[in-house]
Amino acid sequence: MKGSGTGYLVKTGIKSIWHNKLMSLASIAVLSACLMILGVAALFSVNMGEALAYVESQNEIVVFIAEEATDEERADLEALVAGTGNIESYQYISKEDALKETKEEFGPDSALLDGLEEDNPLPASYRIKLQNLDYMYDTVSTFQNAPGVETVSYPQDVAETIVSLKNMVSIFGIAIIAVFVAVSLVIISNTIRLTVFARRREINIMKYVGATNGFIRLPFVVEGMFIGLLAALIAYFAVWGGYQGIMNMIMGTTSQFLQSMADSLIPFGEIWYWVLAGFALTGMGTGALGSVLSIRKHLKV
Amino acid sequence: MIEFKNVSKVYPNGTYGLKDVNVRIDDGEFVFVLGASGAGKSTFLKLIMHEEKVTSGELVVNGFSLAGLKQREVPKLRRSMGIVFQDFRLIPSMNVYDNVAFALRVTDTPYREIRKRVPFVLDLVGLIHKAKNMPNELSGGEQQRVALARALVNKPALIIADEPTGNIDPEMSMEIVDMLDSINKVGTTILMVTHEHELIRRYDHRVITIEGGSILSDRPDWRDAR
Repeated sequence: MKGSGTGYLVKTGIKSIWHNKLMSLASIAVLSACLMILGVAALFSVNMGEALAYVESQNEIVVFIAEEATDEERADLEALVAGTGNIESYQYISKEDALKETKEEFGPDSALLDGLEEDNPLPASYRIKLQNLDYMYDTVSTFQNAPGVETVSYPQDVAETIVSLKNMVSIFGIAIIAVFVAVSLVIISNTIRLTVFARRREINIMKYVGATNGFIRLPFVVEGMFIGLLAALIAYFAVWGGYQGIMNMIMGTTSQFLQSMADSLIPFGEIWYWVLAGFALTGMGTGALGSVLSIRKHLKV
Repeated sequence: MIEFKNVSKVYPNGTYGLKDVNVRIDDGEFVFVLGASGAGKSTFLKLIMHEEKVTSGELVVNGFSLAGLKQREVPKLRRSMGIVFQDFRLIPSMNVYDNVAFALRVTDTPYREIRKRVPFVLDLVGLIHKAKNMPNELSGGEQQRVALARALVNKPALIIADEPTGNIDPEMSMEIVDMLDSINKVGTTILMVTHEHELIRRYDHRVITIEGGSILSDRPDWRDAR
């Protein structure tokens, strides 16, 4: 747009925030509180997800190879393991490796196992780490039905717990976000509604002189987005401070357990841009949407 | 040009605003629309301004066919007309200059145009010396002249004046209508709604009388208008 309008209307929108200082302040406060809760919930989900992913990666399924499997079946199985999706990594444990490991576990009593080299009863196996425990059963049944496989052992309870925890965390995260976005929308659109009401005359005149709806909305959308941006900045610094504070507190304790927990927390420096971008987008998005909603009925002239 | 062809307007509650109206107003005409309140004058104007939509029939205004006009065409239609209201509708927080410039700013007119056209129309309505005044420092007549300047600043082909003299005293009223008359002389179509017969008798313009949602009479001057 080459005309005078855009600049003029952007200015009008920003002026209007100052004009309604008290109400703008109130909505910035409430919105930044919403964003903080949102941020805490999101950070909690992310950290929880990270921790679960770690636990997940520690779980493996073991495919035991039948004693009587033919060379052909063993080769096919090798190819099957290599070619199956959802596998993070795998390791082939030969009969000899298995025995050696068992001996190590026995430690000083390993002499009990001496002589087993001749007639090793331990089966060879593949130890497989999965990418995603959600699909563990599919992977397990693939191997159970393969020829040359004796049995497949897998951590059934752990997997089920982790999967349901993961679902809970993401449902919880989504629910919190939905609730607080809704609350923010109501707050912002209420503030803008006041401005709209104060300026209904201007809106009315704008309609009659042929301003487009986009143009009429502009100052209000600017106002809403600006409020959203300010709230986002406040929330960002608050969450940053809070996160660091908790980290430092945990580091400062003597409890070994808490310290190891802090180790698994994601450092803020690694995610700050996500937090900032998330806040800015959510804040400005709800600001803009709230404005559009509250001005809608005034555009019908 | 405005052309009503068998236009009816029925409001959602079932009452008739207009019943089967046929009328044509050519470019450059000055037309008084006369009628008591509730006769259908407002509906007549609202349909032209596209504030209300026709229920049936055809309505063409400045080349726009209003039955089924697209939402994004409405601003274009409105820019082809200037509207003056009974209650002036000036923005109290803006001075005279800004009130007039507002109409150009919100239609994204270049700065240079604004600086040229606002003083021009303020001069035309004789208020250039009050450009910095606020609306509440002006008399009713002066406020209406500011509103007229705002309606003119877009160079519209049509001026719609909805009882422009309703809120101002008689001498001032004359001044406003004189001004509309001289604007008409340079080619702008004027459609002025009023119920003041006194005023109409001073001019030699076409008079359309609306009653009960229909055109009661349409005469080339006031003499045998009802």
